Amino acid sequence: MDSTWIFLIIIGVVAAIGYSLYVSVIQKRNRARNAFSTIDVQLKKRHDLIPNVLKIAKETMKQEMSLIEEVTRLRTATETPTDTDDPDAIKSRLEAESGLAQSMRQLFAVAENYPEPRFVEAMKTAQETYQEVEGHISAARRFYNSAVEDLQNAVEIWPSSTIAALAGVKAMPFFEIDEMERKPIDADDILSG
Amino acid sequence: MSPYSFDPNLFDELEQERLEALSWRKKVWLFGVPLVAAASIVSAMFFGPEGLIAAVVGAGLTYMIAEFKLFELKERMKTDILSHMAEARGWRFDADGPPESGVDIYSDLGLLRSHNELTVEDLFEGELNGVRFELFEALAKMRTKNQKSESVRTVFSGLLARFSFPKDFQGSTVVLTDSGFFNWAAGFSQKGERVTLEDPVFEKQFQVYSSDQVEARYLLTPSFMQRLLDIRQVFPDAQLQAAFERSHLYLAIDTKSSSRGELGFFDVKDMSKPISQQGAIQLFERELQVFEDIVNGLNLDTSTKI
Repeated sequence: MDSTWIFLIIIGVVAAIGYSLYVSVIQKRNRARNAFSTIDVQLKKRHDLIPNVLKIAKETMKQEMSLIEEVTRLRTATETPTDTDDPDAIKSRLEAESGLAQSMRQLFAVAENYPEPRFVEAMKTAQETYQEVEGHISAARRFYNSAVEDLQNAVEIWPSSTIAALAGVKAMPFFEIDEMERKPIDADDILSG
Repeated sequence: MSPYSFDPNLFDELEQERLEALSWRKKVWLFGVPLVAAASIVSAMFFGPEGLIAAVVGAGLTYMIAEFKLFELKERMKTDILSHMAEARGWRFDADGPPESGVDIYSDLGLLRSHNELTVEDLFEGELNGVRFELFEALAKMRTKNQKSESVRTVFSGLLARFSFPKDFQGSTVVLTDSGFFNWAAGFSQKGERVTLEDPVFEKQFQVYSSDQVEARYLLTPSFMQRLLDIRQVFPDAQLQAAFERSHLYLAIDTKSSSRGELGFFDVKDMSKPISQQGAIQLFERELQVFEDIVNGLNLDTSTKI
């Protein structure tokens, strides 16, 4: 076998490995994007619930207007479509969503301390529905983070990192829970603040 | 101490029969052994070494005559006691187990591997803390024949259970025991795709397959994963597998590798002990308590949803 053939075989093998790495990196990116759309669907469900919760809250929680306005502002901020090619845009969106979740938790915590039984009952029902949606968001978030971790490994570990750089594939941000969100909310802190 | 109670004199008649059966056994051995020994000596004198066959046959017959009453009573005792225990809890007990068609779903979900012989018994059905359930014992075997020999392999021996599940879901999710290097083989036979979960301890002990990645995580929350790990501690020698399908959670606890033996749950182990003291009642109470602890530990009550 002459050296030309050996060279061609080596080129062929390298091309095949390169192509399979390219396929793998693109698959991981698409999986992460798909996972983000799944989160998006679940977040939309949360957004749809919020106006009803605020409607109940506005009637009774007149002293918490700043909190209600904050929820409204964050909800509007998270309504804008997110460019899935832009990791920074995804990061800002996910941070805004975490902020919205935090504000909603505060709202429910404060509502529990109100004396009106009908209002508390209505908010409790709303909170149960909200928590069901939160359960789905949490599941979608875990799937998204798992897909992002796979993509991040592909983007950062050689040799797939070289292929990712050539194909312009970037890592996507994790959807993390804020430390604040992990802690149980103390309504007294919010009311006294 | 069990919160359930029934009349302690309920089994007086059975206890009387147990004492009679023990006394019968004692008498048969007392008279049977010398009789068989004498018959064997006479038989050996007349027929030589072949005459010893009579000794073997005689010993076998003596054993059967001595034990048949206890065997018969053991089954009746188990059925009577477990029926009353189930009734005290508002459940239903059927010693014959579910119909074979009721086991198909466990096979379809991959919790019961391919088999051609199946024995089921001791079915409990009812509700516990708002959770509808069924629980039964199953023994599945695979008998294979070739031209030279026949072999029988136990595929499953243990408990199968089904619970109503408080979450709504459409797909199918299966939690299998981790088989290390052979995980690929398990994956080959599963319909869904592998789900990698974030809990390293859970991942080390189980492998999850699902038709829906998000739904699998919705069902297997971090706290539910911990609950499955806790059940694993109750049966450390057993293989624990679970599946979620059509608003139900299915559990398979395979104890074939443990010392429990085939169909070893809900069996009267020692007929020499009185029913009400250290015998069947306490044993069954302990086994039902383990099951109740599992249901409570799974926290399947409809209000929590986590």
